[in-house]
Amino acid sequence: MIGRKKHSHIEPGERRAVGVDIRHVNKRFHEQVVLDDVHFTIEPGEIFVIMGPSGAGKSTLMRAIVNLEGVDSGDILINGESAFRQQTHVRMHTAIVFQAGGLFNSLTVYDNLAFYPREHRLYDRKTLHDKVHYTLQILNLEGCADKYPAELSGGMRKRVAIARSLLIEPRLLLYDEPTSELDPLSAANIAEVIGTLKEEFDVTSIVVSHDRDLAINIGERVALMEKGRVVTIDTPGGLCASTDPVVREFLQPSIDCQKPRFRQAACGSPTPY
Amino acid sequence: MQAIRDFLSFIGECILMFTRSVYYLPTVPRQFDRVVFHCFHIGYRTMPMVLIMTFFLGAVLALQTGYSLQDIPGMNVYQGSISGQGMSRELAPLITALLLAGRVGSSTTAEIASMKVYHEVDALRTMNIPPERLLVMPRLVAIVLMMPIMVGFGIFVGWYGGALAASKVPFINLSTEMYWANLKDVVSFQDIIDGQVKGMIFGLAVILIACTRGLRTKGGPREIGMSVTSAVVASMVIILCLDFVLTLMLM
Repeated sequence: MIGRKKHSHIEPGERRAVGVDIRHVNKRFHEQVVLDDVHFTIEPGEIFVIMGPSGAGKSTLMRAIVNLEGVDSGDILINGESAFRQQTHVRMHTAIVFQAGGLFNSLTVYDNLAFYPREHRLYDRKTLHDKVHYTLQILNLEGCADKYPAELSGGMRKRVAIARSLLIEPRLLLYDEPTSELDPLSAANIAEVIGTLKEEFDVTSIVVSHDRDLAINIGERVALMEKGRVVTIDTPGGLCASTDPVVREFLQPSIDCQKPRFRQAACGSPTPY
Repeated sequence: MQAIRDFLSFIGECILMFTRSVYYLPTVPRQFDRVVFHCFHIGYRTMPMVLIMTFFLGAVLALQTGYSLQDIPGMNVYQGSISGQGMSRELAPLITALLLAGRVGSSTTAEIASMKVYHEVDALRTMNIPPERLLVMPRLVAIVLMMPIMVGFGIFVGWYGGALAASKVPFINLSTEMYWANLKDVVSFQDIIDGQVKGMIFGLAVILIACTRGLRTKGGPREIGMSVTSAVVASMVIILCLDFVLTLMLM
């Protein structure tokens, strides 16, 4: 559950979220094609889910967006700037929540959250303290500040990773398999967090997942990838109604689009089945 | 052929890592805490082992040379010069570097490799914090600061080990005064400086190899173990190769 928001980080009238333009991206690992002419646009403020079976190239694409992985050809523009040529500037407003959290295991939760602002000298001690505790509060992690990541449950670690990424004040937030290894309740909780952060912080969210329930229920648009290619991009409703055999095959055994496992955070609290 | 190519590529990576780390030297004041931490870890915690090893090495050197020279009349007086030059130019920097490769190199590789495997390094990169700045450069500064101290103490303790063995072992039977007088006659300040230079270069090599190997790691716990082993082995081989080259250059 997300705690009540005390104040908004967004100035009135300010648009923080950024658009992402992926232009004909190709990548090979030796002979294996990992990304094959991937080409689509993500609108500012959108929750865009990249879905597909294991080995489809989802995570490689996500790593390419933050330039952790180079590409053979093509470009990725974030707010009109190339993720490869203007890496430093692009990364200033991009945060990523790794599948395993990517938390610094030898630091406490507080130090994990304070790490980025300290390294970049963003705030004085008092402001930093307030910001960290505010972020912990909105993710219901009060009382965890002095714990180490290893002492937390999987769901809590994911929330700490999300909290840490919020301290970067991102305009683009990427989630790599945010519900993997989580029980249904924790997964629903993370799904709610993703939706709420989009509303409250005005961020563009890219969620990479093979969790079809999550994709269908929180995504505003969903891209289905297979063997490095984007098979289709559609709204969750359109995807459920699709007659494309590849889409039908991926959605089998069928999931109930009318009775979602999660509801979007903006629509209310999560409902695990 | 592939092994040679891999080795050369690894050396190239180490050199690149060094240049990238040197680029971040101006951030030392901001990372003062980290430099102090690594000085403590590399220097203070390694020092007792360095002292123990160099003491016994000095003593064994005196014993061994004393045993060989006992049949040649009058040669025992050269114990001081043998121990003096041997420790300062060769053994103290070498043994300190080998110890460092085992103790600090292995822990550095293990730490960085596990950070790499568990995406902590990726997280750093996405935060605009290059790992060279945070993980490598403070260690390089610490080794440059601590290596001369460790080698310096190692040299003196080795000399004392030699003096003790020379004076107490009956078949050598060289007075302490004679030992020190001969050592002072032969060993110059330049010999100590040469030892320090060697030690510093060995230390830089150990840290660069450990960090590069750690940052190259992919996979899981098994690969972390393999990285540690390969970093320690590579460090030891490269230390000995460098030793040969430096000895030739400093002659």
